[in-house]
Amino acid sequence: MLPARKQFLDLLTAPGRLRAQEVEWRLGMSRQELQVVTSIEHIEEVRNSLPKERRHQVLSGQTRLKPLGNPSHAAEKFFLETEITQLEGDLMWLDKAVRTGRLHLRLKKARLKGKTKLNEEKTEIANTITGGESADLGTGI
Amino acid sequence: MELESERIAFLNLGRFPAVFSVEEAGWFFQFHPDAIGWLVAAGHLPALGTVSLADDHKRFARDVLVQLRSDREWMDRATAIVYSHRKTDSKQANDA
Repeated sequence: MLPARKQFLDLLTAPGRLRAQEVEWRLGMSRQELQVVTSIEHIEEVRNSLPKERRHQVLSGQTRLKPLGNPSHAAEKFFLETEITQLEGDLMWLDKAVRTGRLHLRLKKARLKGKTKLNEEKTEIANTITGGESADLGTGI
Repeated sequence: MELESERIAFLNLGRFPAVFSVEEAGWFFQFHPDAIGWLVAAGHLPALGTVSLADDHKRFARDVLVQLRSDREWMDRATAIVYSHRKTDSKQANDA
């Protein structure tokens, strides 16, 4: 375990506002998972990929983890420590958060796979066209 | 690094003092000491006694800070004040 993580988790009183890194340590999440559970766009993407009857199993815009003070996209985000403490003991929320993170990762992988496949098809088409042109050029027409 | 170990030692106290300094209030909320001054100037954080805004020796009541620490609305507004200060500061630096 990182000494900084141990030092932070051992604090008798955590500061009132937590940085993203500290929330990751407290909730045992990765940076990517934290990004998903705080983002309305990512959560909506996951919800829209599910049939309506399964959407209650993942987070929603209402139950997402909200950073303090309406930060801009690039700003460092802070979270209320007392809310994180509550969520640590909320098994239902943790279950939904993990599920949302996993489903988002799966969607991302599928999208990348799709893109690769699409790129392969495009390259194949391009090769055929180029090949065809060379063939035409080769005939001297 | 010394400041970091002081911060950790403070947050590991079994019992906090009744009155906090600017630095201790910063550690307690995880705000930069400058931000504590901005919050006082904005009338968002009550300091003890009569203090001038330029006074670096502002003091804060522990019990008030403990209450504010878990107040989502207060913390939202405080964080927004700090963001807007940072924005103004960086804009001024760019303009200069």
